[in-house]
Amino acid sequence: MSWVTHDVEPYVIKRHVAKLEAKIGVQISFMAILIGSWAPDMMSKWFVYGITVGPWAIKADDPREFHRSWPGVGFTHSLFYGVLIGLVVWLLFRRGTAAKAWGIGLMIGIWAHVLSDTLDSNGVMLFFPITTAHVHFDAWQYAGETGRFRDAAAYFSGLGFVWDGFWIGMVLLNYRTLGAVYFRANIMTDSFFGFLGRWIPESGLLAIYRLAFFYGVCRWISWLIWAHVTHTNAFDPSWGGPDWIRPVGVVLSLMGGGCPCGSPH
Amino acid sequence: MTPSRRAAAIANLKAFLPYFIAGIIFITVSVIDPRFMLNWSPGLVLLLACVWVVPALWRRWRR
Repeated sequence: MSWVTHDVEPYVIKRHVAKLEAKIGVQISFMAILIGSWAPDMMSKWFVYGITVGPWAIKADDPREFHRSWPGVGFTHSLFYGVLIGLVVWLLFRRGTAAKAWGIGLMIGIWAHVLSDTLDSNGVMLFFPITTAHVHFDAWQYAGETGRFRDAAAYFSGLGFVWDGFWIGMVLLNYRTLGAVYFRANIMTDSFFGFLGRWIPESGLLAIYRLAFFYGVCRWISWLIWAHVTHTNAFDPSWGGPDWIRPVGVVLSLMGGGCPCGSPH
Repeated sequence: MTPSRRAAAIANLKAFLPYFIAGIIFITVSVIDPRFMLNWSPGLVLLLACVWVVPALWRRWRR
């Protein structure tokens, strides 16, 4: 999984779908791309990491399989899922003017998420339901089964943080996408911002538009400081790293308190 | 630097300042307690407060 990429890549994608927009005559919704980019993990991540409700600890028996395989919710990480959600939204709201913009936007956002997730060691069922085989490039270790904090420590020690940094850099190279002029011309026309604009002035709408980038950059910096300054996790930006993450199948219980990162210090 | 460019640069800096302050607060709180950054809603509240609500209240108070 990619911790910050899913927050920031929609800005770059939206900037570069202008040709497609001109071809189909629709201004693709930025919010749809962003929600699509978050969608595959929205309903399942809490069950992958586990939560405690009173005396009960609720967590998938095999988080790795549940998250990315079948049976499980792995179908949410497939190209087919993007097409399905896009089509459903398009058909449900086809009488509205924004149906196409949202349908295509959601599909593109989900595809971006799915393709990013092929880079970890677990991969995704890219061509589900044709095949349940995982496509994975093993650039960094998938460590979702070790809990949220241990996963963060591993991700921000391996090539994951480089991948996130790449996308932050891409947005900064396309810095005009964060500007007020670009926002007025390309984003504010979105029905979502039109709706919010009834109550919120432009400065507030601009802040909402920039939120995902702000959130992504701040989290990238915060996790790096947390993992390497306030905790002592070793950097290992080698392909398939970090080596120190425990092998898959060894599930750490982080429910019992202590240091939330799960490190033995 | 021409006066108009300088004015534009100062305006950009002023516009960036609330985001910078929000970012410093976000990162400080998140490093102390990383649960703060597990959900985007506290970030949204913080950002809107720094970028929109507080400056709006400040302008109203000064008037």
